[in-house]
Amino acid sequence: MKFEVEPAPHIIGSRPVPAVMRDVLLAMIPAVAVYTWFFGAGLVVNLVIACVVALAAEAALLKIRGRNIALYLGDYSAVVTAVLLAFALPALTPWYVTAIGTVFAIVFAKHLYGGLGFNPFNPAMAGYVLLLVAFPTPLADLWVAPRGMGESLGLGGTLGAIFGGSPPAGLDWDAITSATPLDRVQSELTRAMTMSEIAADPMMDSAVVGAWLWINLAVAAGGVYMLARGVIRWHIPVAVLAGLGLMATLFYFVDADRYPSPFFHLTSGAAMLGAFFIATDPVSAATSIRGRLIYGLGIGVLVYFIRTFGAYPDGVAFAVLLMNAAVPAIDYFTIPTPYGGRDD
Amino acid sequence: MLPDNARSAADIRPCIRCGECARVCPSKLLPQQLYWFAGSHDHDNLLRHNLFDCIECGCCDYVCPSNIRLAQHFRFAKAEIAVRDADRARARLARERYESRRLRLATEQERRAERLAEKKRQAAAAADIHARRKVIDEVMQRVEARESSESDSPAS
Ligand code: SF4
Ligand code: SF4
Repeated sequence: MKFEVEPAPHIIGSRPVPAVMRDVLLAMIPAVAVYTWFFGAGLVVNLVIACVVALAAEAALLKIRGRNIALYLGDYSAVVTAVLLAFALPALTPWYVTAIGTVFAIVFAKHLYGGLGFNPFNPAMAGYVLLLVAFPTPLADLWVAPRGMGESLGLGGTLGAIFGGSPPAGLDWDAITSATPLDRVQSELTRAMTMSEIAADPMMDSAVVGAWLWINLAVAAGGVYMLARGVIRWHIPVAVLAGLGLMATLFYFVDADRYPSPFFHLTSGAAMLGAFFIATDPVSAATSIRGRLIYGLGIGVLVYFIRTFGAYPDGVAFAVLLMNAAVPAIDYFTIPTPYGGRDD
Repeated sequence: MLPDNARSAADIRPCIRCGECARVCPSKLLPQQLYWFAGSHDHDNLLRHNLFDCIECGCCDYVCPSNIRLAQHFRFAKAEIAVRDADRARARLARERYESRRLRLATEQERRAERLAEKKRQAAAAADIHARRKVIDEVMQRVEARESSESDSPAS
């Protein structure tokens, strides 16, 4: 019998990368379930499209780059990217939009930089921003009305909308879609409405705000699961939520009629998804503990500013990409002092 | 025969920068950064990241989900830097030796030239005295000759 000659240590105590990625996927299940309950089967269809396209693109690129396809395809990282991207898109996004975003995320944002571990930007968010810029209309208008508000689509109607690009016979888009709370608040505020008037608006009734609240809670639950499993560490999510919450509180106390409450900010749109699933992508995040706190705070603050003063209703994708770009600088200035070294 | 968690080289993956290694490092280093710079032989950055504070304990290996031989890379990088430093020290020493030899040869040359010049000057001076002495001798001979011829003549 021949043994491999290996340097010490001879045993390992970690769960390998595929197990870690599987935990991320498990952690998304509650959020997907709640989302599907409120907004119908569109998300599941998008997830399937994105996953199939992502795996195909990943396999093709691995083949072109001459890598071990079985080893790398089995690490689930492409699936995680696909799931995060699909989750960020509206439920009725046309299939080709989802596919283009996924291909861009895998091919350009990931493999052209050297594949897993070498991408400076979060692939899912790079794909999302490309779609946001290239297909602004579907990404702004195809948000489904939550359960109890619009007409229900059913699976057939959903498939028709995603693959056929048209609403089911007898219905028009307006009957089945509705703006997200963030979108609504932003457009009403630019029309000089006050927050109390917006709250009284029937379009902002508890159904749609509540749906997003529940989705954010489910995402946070997944995040807590990942924390408990040691898949992510607390620094980045806490820093993101603190950055967003602090800015929201500050402006809320300045003028509660023009700025939504911190609670609204933390439970709408992609706040929790960004904090727990997107900003925590380790590859594109800062390295040291101090660096990660700075990185997370930066994302939180940027999300607030983009939501409040920018042209887009949500800002997680842009905030994450901007802070990704700042990571080399953050890393440069946050090298920890070694044990026994002098803090200066 | 091997334990379940024995490590094997079969499934080494790229570093995903998860930071678990930095969490456990007793020297509070950033093994993932060291690994990155060790791969690119970036010695200056390795030293900026305090490579030589690594005690090669292997804690980072133990927790790495990508199964990377971190401590092994660090040992190699340290050796590389040691070799580089030794090379540099040898080169410096050789240069110093060459410089001092050149200086010594130049000084010797100068001294020799000085000595030569001195000798020439002395020779010249000696030659000079010789010549004067000859003139004096001639004069003295002439004087002597005259004196003797005068004394030879009969007194009148
Ligand atoms: S534990 Fe391994 S994969 Fe994680 S950052 Fe360290 S070297 Fe990279
Ligand atoms: S081997 Fe070095 S870098 Fe790794 S944990 Fe030990 S001291 Fe830290």
